[in-house]
Amino acid sequence: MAIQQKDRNFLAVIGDEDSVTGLLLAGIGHVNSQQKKNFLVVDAKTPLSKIEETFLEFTKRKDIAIILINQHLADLIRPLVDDYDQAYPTVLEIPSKDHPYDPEKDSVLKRVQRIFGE
Amino acid sequence: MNSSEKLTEICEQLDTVVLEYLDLISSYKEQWKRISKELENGFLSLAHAKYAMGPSLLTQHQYDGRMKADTRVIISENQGAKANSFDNELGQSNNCQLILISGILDGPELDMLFAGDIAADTLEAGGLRQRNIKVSEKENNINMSENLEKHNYTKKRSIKNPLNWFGILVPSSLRESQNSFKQGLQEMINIINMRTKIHVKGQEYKKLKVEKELFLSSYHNINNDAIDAAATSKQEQVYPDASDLDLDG
Repeated sequence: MAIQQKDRNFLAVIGDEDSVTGLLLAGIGHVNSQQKKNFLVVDAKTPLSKIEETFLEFTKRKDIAIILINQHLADLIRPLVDDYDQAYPTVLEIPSKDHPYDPEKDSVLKRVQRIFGE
Repeated sequence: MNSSEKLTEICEQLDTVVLEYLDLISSYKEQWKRISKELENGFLSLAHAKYAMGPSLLTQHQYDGRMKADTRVIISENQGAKANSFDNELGQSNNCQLILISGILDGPELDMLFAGDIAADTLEAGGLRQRNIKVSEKENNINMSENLEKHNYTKKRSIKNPLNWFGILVPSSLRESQNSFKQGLQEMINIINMRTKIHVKGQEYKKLKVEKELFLSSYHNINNDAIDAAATSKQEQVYPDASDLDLDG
């Protein structure tokens, strides 16, 4: 297993400018030899198709272990995020400056509710 | 072990699993609070830095186009986790955990890290085992470790601190923001590992619940059969020739 996942070292991020800047300051930013970035800054002008495309691209890349995405952006592509069921890269929805963490949208807590609600 | 003892055992296991599960959920929520706090601090410091530097100096246009990741993760197999049937049902990912690493690039270091050699080498290079080694070997070891350190140092130095994308003399609030985001990132890795544990525990709970229900249904069936058998035998005692009775007559 370790050999299969050995190349998965990067963290990718899809978020607003402040979230991406903060996480790049933490050192996760990487541009590879094909000039492919592991981040996408989403602003008001970014089309939805671009977010979907980037999310799918990140999920298919073999060098990404974690995809961080702002919770409010994940809401925009909710069917894609919910349908994604691979172990790696794993997806984590994070809060942004204008949209604090909402437990109602947390997939883990939703699953817990389902288990005890059955 | 009779049926009631078996049932008690399953119920006790179920109780333990539920308590552990709820504990994990509680820690998960606490962890989210910590992440939110760290990110809030990071955003606040970033806003302060923007104010100090001017809004045009802290945008995506200042990012280095040739940036290399200094902070990465490795997916390591969790040796402590027991390989049970739940792991097989859910795939191998449940046996893994993520570890945040900093300052290590591609190449031999990463291979060594995966092979688990770094820990062993460090122990041998710096520990008590050197006492009985000959002087020449010691010198060799020292030279090798110096080379390795130099190699690491040059590699580390080649990664530019992202703070410098925005200028040489950056405000202290930008450094604070960087620290907050680094801390927040570590918390995020912790929460991902915790999420895996919650998932495994949830599956364990489901499995035990199914086991209990199956046991209870089989227990009831056995009891019902026993009651039916008792009722039949009682009927036979009261009406020994009931089958021979001519009801029409």
